[in-house]
Parts: sequence; C-alpha cells; structure tokens
Amino acid sequence: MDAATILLQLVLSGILVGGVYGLIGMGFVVTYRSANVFNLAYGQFVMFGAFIAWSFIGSPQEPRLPLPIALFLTLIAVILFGLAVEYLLFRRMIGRPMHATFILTLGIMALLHGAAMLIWGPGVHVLVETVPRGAIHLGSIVLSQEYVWSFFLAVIIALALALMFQRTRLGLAMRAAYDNQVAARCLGVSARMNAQITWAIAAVIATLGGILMGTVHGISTTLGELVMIVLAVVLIGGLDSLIGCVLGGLILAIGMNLSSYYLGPHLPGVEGIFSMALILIVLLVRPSGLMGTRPIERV
Amino acid sequence: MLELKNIKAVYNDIVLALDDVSLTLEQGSVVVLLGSNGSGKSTTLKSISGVLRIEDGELTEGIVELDSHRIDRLNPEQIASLGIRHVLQGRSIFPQLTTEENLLMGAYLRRDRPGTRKDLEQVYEHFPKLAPLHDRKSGYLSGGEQQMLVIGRALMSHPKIMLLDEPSLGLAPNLIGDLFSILKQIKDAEKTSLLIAEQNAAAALAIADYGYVLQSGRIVASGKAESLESYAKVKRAYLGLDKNGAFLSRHDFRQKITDDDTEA
Amino acid sequence: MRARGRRKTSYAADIAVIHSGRQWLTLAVFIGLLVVLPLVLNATHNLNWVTFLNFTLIIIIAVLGLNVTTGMTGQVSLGHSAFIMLGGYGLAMLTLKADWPFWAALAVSTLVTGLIALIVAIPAIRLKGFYVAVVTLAFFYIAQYVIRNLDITGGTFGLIGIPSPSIAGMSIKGDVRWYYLLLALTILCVLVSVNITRSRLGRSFLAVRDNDVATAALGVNVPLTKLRAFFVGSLFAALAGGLWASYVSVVRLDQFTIWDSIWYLGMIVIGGAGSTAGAIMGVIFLRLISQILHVIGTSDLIPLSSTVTIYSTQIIYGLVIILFITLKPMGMISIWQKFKINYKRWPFGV
Ligand SMILES: Nc1ncnc2c1ncn2[C@@H]1O[C@H](COP(=O)(O)OP(=O)(O)OP(=O)(O)O)[C@@H](O)[C@H]1O
Ligand SMILES: [Mg+2]
Repeated sequence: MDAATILLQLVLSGILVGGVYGLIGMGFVVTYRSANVFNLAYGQFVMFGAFIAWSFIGSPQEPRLPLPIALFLTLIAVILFGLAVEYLLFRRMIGRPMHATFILTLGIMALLHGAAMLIWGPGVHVLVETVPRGAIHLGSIVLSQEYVWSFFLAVIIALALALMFQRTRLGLAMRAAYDNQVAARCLGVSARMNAQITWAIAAVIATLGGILMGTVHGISTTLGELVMIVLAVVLIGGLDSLIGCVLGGLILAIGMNLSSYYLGPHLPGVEGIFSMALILIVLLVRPSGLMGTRPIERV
Repeated sequence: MLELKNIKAVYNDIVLALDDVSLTLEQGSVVVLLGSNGSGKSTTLKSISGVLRIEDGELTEGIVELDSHRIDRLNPEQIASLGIRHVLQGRSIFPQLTTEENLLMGAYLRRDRPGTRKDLEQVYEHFPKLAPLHDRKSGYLSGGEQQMLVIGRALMSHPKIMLLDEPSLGLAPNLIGDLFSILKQIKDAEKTSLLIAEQNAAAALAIADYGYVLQSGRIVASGKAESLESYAKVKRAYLGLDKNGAFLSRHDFRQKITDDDTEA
Repeated sequence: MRARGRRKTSYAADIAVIHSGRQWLTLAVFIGLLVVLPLVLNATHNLNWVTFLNFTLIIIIAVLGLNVTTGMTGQVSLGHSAFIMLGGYGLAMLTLKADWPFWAALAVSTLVTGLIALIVAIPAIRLKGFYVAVVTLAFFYIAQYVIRNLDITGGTFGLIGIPSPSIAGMSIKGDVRWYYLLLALTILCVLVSVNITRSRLGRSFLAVRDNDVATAALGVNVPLTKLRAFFVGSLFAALAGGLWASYVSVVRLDQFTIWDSIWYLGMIVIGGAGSTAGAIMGVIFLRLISQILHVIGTSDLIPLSSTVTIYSTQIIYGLVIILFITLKPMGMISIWQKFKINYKRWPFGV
C-alpha cells in the first residue's frame, strides 16, 4: 500500500468510528444542555446500557430473545433507568451549585462501576451478531462491515435526534428552556417533565452507543472509560452543540487513528493520550469549542 | 377574577419585599401598579405567577386566588396553564431561538396548528417591525424589538390574564403610546385582564381602570385611574421621594412645588 | 442547670484554635491516646491495624491539601492522585537514581511537584467549575502516560527499594516507628492547614470559592489566589506521596488511580468542604468503611473474594458520596457543629 492509500484508509476508518463517538457524545450534551449536569458518570451509562441490552439479547452461544423484542425491552429498561436517576438524584440537586452536581456524578460513576463489576465481572461479553460482519474491500482499502453499519446507524439516530430538537414542539421547548428556564416555565414548559425526558433521552442514546460499540468490540466494564473519549468529543465540538458533537467525534477518531499509526511506533499508546492533549489545547485556545454557543452579548 | 389577599413576600428567608398587599383584578379590566425602583412591583407579579418561589422567595402570609381557587402553591408552569401569562421584566427572550420560534413558544400550551398560524399573523400585524425579522436569532434584535417580541409571545396563547412587568421599558416615546393602544385593543377584543407594573405612570394610567401605588412593599394609595392621575402622591411615590422631598433634582423639585400647589 | 453561653470579646479570641483550658486538656488526652494506640494494637498482634493507621495518616496529609484546593477555594481537582504520584516518583528517583539523602529528596520532590501544579493550574484558572476538573483529569492521564514511557521511572514496573528516612541516626523501619513519624508529620500538617484557614490567604481562598466576581471587585487577585491554592494543595499531596513511596518502598503506577482522586474528593464532601476537621473526619470515615469490609471479607464469617471486597467498597463509597451530597451537603462537620452549638447553648438550644 502506498502512503496515500494508507492515509485514506486511516481517515475512512476514523470517520466510521468517529460517527459512533459523535452519537455517544450527544447523550452527554443533552443532559449538559437541559439539566445543567456535567455527567462524568456518562461512560457508565453507556456500559450499563450495553450490558442491559446484552442481558436481553444474549451471546452467540446463548441467544436469549429475538432481536426486536430484546431491543424493545432494553429501551423500556433504560428509559426507566434514566427516569430513576432523575427522580432519585438529580431532582434533589436543582438550585445547587454545579460542582456539587459534578461530584454527585462521580459518586454515581463509582456506584455503577462497582455494581457492574459485581454483576457481570471484568470479562468481555460478546453480543449476538446484530449486524453483518466481515470485511469490505474498496480497492486496496479494507473496512469492516460492522463499523460501516454502526456508522450508518449512528448517523440515522443522530439525524433523528437533531430533527427532534429542530422540528418538534418538544425539541423547541427544550431549546427554549436551555436559553431561559424561567421564561420557558412562564409559558407552560414543565421543568420536571423536561428533566425526565432529558435523562431518558440520555440513557437511550448511551445505550444505543453502547450496543454499537459492543457490536464492534464486545461488551465489558471498560466501556465506562469511554467517558474520556466523550469528554474530548464534546469539548472539541462545544459542550452544548449536537452538530459540534459529530464534528468532535470525527476529528477525534481520525486524529487518534493518525497519531496511532504515525507516532505509535515511537510512542506506544499515544492515541490514548492524544484525546487528553486535544482537550487541553481546546480549553486553552477556544473554551467554547468549535460549535458551542457563546453568550450573545448585548446591552 | 384574580385576588391577592394580604400577602407578605420574603426573599432568601430575610428580605421582606411585600407586606400586607391586597389587590383585585376583575375579569376584563386593566390595573396598574406604580412605584419606584425596589418598591415591590415585580415581586407582586412574581407572587401571582409562581416565579417568586423559583427565585428563592416565598409567600409567608396571605393567599392568591383565581376565581376563588388558591393558586399560590402552584409552579409557574401550572399557573401558565390556567391562562395567566407573566411577561417578565427586561426582555426575557430566548436569545438563541429565532423571532418566530420565540413566538411559537408562546403557543406552547396550544395544540391547534391553524390557530397558531393565524395568531402568528396577528402578532406580526400588531408589531409590523417583527415580521421581516422572523428568521433572525432573537438575541440580535434591538432592545425595543425584543420588548415587542415578548409581549407578542404572551399574546400567542390568548391569555385570560396578562401580567406585564414594565412593558414600556426601553421603548422610544412614540412607541410607548402605540404599545398601550395595542394592549387596549387586545383587552377590548378578547376581554383579557391586564395587570401592568409601570414606571411610566402617565401612559399606563391612560388605559387603566384602576391603580395601586406601592412603596417599600406596601400599598400606599389606590383608586380609579382618573383619580390617581391627578393624585400628586403618585408622582411622589413613583419618583421615590420622601415627604420632605429629599433627593430632589432641581427639575423634579419645581415639579413637586407645582404639584403641591394644585393639591392644595 | 447552668446555661453554657460563652462570649468572645475580641477577633483574636474568636479565631483562636483553642479557646479554653478544658480544650487544651481534651486535646492532650486525645494526642496521648493516639500515641499509645499502636502499643495497644500491637499487644493484640493485629499488626495490620497499624498499617491501616499509617495509610490513613498519609491520606489525611494528602486530603488536607485537596481541602485547600477544592474545599477552601472551590477548584474541583481530579488530579490530586497525580500530584501524590509525582511526589512519590520524585522521591524515588532522587534517592535511587541520584543517591540523595531522604529528607533533601522529599523536600525537593515536594517543591518540584508544587511547581508542576502551577503549570497545570494555568489553563485551569482561566476556566470555571468542571473545566478545572477536566484539565486536572487530562493532566492525570498525561502524567501517567509520561511515567509509563520513561526509563528513569521504571515504566510499568515502577521503582523498588526506596530507602526509609532516619532521624538522629535512628532508621525509621517497621510499622510502629513509621506510625510515630507519620503522626508527628500529620499533626504538623493539621497545624499548617488550620492556620491557613485563619490567615489572610485562607480568607482569600474562601472568598474565591464563594464568589469569583465579587471577590475580584474587592481587590483580591482571583487568578493568583487560585494558583496559590493549587500550589499549596499539591505540596501536601507530594509530601504524602513521598512518604507513601518510602513507607511501602516501591512506587508503581497502579498505586495512584483516578478512583483515588475521586475518593479524595468524596472524603472532602463527606467531611465538610473547607474544614480541616471535616477533611480528617471524611478520610477516617471512608477508610474505616473499607477496613471493615476488608475485615469482614477475610473473616470466616462471610468470606468474600478480594475482588468482591474491592467492588463492594466501590459501591459503598459511591453510595456514601451520593447520600452526603444529596442529603447532607455540608458534611459530617455540620452535624458535629450543630450538636456542639446545641450543647453549648443548653437549655436554650434549638
Ligand atoms: N431575587 C431576589 N432576592 C432578594 N431580594 C430581591 C430579589 N428580587 C427582588 N428583591 C428585593 O425585593 C424588593 C422589591 O423588588 P422588586 O423587584 O419587586 O422591585 P420593583 O418595584 O420591581 O423595582 P424595579 O422598578 O426596579 O423593577 C427590592 O428591595 C429588591 O432588592
Ligand atoms: Mg421590577
């Protein structure tokens, strides 16, 4: 393979992974926007959602329920999970300083991680084949089918979400509440319902992301560590922007691919640190990220 | 009919903002609240709309009744669903949303699309300046345009009662007259009751039936609009002067002397 | 019954650490108890309890530092574990690779860590709230990466054979000797911490925590204050790291995890952010939980595998943090203070 093909290969596979990262990041953005929570436990949400799905879907050796039914039950279960998180925890934090909520998410992170370790153990659990596997050859470029599938699914889900926010009454209300909570409530937007929907959406996105990641890599408690990737994705994109999120996912994944290939031989494992470095650079140069809203200054 | 009975409002458990305030708003009438800065006008409106509680305040005494039902324990969103619209002080728009999206939010609690479209047209008719700006992010509108926007937004839901907090704030003098005549039109057409907190006493009293004057959280005068208009105390309370006329600027001082003369 | 009101007639009297003769007595008895504690525990051959005490003391020193950065100044740092790590590795490298004497190595590695913390703080101080947490989190991973990939730090194997200190010719070897050394140093650190709270510096920390903007308007240099908070906080951390490395005579990356950073934050929240006594209570509370689980797990009663113990501890830590932050945000210290006030005012208390 010549240098150009290698580059293309790296970029293409980066795009495929980046789409999934972008989707996962959206769940983080949603709670940040609508519930004002910087949820460091989000990686655990992804992991928990994936395990719940696995419990219903089963492994190739031991399939459990037919896929549609299993997915439906998973959906119900994680929506309930999201609602419970809101009802039991975050509802109590309204009006409290943001760093208190932040530390609360650290506690949740510990709780969920410990629980998952006890329930499912540290091993990798393989998911029933949800999408076709195998390699796709485009000239000399090789892409794996499950990546392509998860990329397209991620794009579809992300588009649906964006449409929801841009085109529906509910989405409009959620954007309005993010802009000006008091005014939105004076127009009849229920703060409580808003919060519930937000957490349910976050849990669902996290789970879908977890299933897609699990399809490719298998499911284990290390999925929780995705939160570091998510942080990089959302900070690059701008904490409150869904489009920025996709952009952040692409940039990060391509960057990780490139750094791993070109720098990896000299600096083993550099791609893991690449996201950290990127976070620092973004925060230094442009704290609101690429697409994040900066407050409109008017007198 | 909206009634406040002897309410006492306290912020952060210590700041007493309203003390023993009673007020009545008949269906289809216009009532103005006058008073200087910090006299408690906004707090009065907030205790009706429920915003008081989400700003860390509470009613420690007294009740608020809408058609003889207590509403002082409800959330702002519940009160909104009863047909009460609070237009908050100071252009409380959704800055990242477009003008039209802002207006559509006004119709959030309604579900009929054709009606919503019609009302949208009507708001643009009332405020023709907004029509060409419908696609603009509202954060970039001028202050006066934003003020029209929030009033238009409240109209979108055909409220039974509108609580307007300083609607004339930041409007050019010629627009203030227009605004109040629009409000009067709406009130006449839809039997909307208006409770208006205003610094601009003259303009508000012109369309009002009744008025109250607040000073340091207490009602110090009330009466029919016409009688209040000629009431020198209005100006005094509204300008924030004490009985001895301390803090008078020269111009206000002259004004006061003339007022006092007419009073005598 | 006599009412116990007590009036203070000067500011000095009000901020005094010790108010009365009786408090002196209580303190003396308390320290006396701490001094004889290992002898009692030794007598029952439960040596692992002294080890437990030693680690607790080391963590108290570290958490006192985080209490400055996060508790007093409100800069939520997830990098505390990294500062401890740097202190530990610094000491190990200076003693092993450069043959420095222990105390000089400890002093220098502590100072250098402080300087590194200043660099980390530069991006952090421009930003607010959780951004600071993200910067320090990123720093944690970068620091780990660097240490893993250098030769001088021993890579993934770490460094072993770190020497113990000696005082007046007596080498500090064995749990009990370490206990007395650590106890003395901890008391020293507690004194420093208490005096920070009472100083001008401490008041500027608290002012920054409570309100950036208003504080700036009062003429406090907010960025500089935040830098100082990071510097001072990391000094405690690095000191603790150096002692830890020497006490166990090895440093390895897996001694310093991101979970530890989280537990340290939890200890502060549980104790009561900003209060020295609170930080100490928080450390002891969480440490006791893990020790009790450990004892249960290794007992014949309910034998648990070590992984079960580890993850049960994690779950309980998480739950405790969640419960305190939702139900008792001011921490254990607030419970204690309420009790004390009611006691003092008796019978007029609320
Ligand atoms: N959120 C709050 N917290 C504490 N005190 C408040 C709060 N809002 C208002 N106050 C106090 O309550 C009193 C009444 O305020 P209010 O906003 O009702 O006055 P106002 O008559 O609307 O004044 P203005 O004409 O300036 O808008 C003032 O002393 C004010 O400082
Ligand atoms: Mg006002």
